[in-house]
Amino acid sequence: MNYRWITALAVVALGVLAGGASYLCFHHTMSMSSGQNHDSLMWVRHEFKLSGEKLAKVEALHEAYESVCAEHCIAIADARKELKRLQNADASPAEIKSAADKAKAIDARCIASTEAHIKEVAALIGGEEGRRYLSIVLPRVVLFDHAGPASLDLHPTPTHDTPAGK
Amino acid sequence: MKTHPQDEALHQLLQHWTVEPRPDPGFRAAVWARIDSARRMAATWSGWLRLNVARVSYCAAASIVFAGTGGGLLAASQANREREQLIQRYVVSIDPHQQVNAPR
Repeated sequence: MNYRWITALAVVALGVLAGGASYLCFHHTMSMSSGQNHDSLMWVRHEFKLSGEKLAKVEALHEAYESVCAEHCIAIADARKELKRLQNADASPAEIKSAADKAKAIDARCIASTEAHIKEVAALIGGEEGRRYLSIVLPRVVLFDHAGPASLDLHPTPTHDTPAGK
Repeated sequence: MKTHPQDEALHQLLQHWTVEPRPDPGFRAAVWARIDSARRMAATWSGWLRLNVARVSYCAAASIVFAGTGGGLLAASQANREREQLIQRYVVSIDPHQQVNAPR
C-alpha cells in the first residue's frame, strides 16, 4: 500500500481517538455533575451544589410538599372527573358552570401552592443561586398549559419520587 | 553483389549526413533532479514520514482539533439534554397539574 494512504488512515484513526476521548472526557464530567441517581431532587442538589444544613432543609421541604402535591393531584383529577361526568350526563348549564368554577378554583389554588413552594425553595437556596433556581423552575410551572387534556388516572405517576405500583 | 545505382546515391548521402542536436540548457538540471528524486524515495514508512513531517504534522493536528471539538460539542449537547430531563423530572414532581396531565 502507498505510504500516503497508510498515513491518511493513521491520521483518521488519530482523529477518531481524539474525538472519542474528548466525548468521554466531557460527557463523564457533565454526567458526574448531573448525578447518576435519578431521584427528582437530584438536579437541585447538584445544580445548586447544596450540602449540609441547606440541603437537609430543601429535602425536608420537598418531602413535605410531596404529600401536598399528591392531595392537589387528587383534587384536580376529582374536579375534572366531576365536570366530565356532568357534561356527559347533559346536566344543567348551571351545574356544569358550578363544577367548572370549582375546577378552576382548585387549579388556581394548586398553581398558587406550587409557586409558593418554589419561592420557599428559592429563599432557602438563597442569593444568586436562589434567583437562578427561580428563573429556571418558575417559568416551567407558570407557562405550563394547565388546561391541557387531563388524565383521570389517579395512580401515582412514574415521574413521582414514589414509583407507580410501589 | 550488384548494387543498385540508387543505393549508391543513398550511400553518398548518408556519408555526408550529420546530426547536430540543439543544446538543451535544462538537460543537466533535469538529469540531476531525477537522480535526486530517486534518492528521496523512502524505503520505509518512517522514512517517508520523516521526509513529509511538516505536512503530516499539520494534518494530524487538524484532525485532532476537529475531532476533539466535535466530540466535546456532542458530549455537551447530550449532557444538556440529560440536564433538561432532570429539570423536567423535578418540575413534574412538584407540579400537580403536570402530574395529572402526564402522558401514561
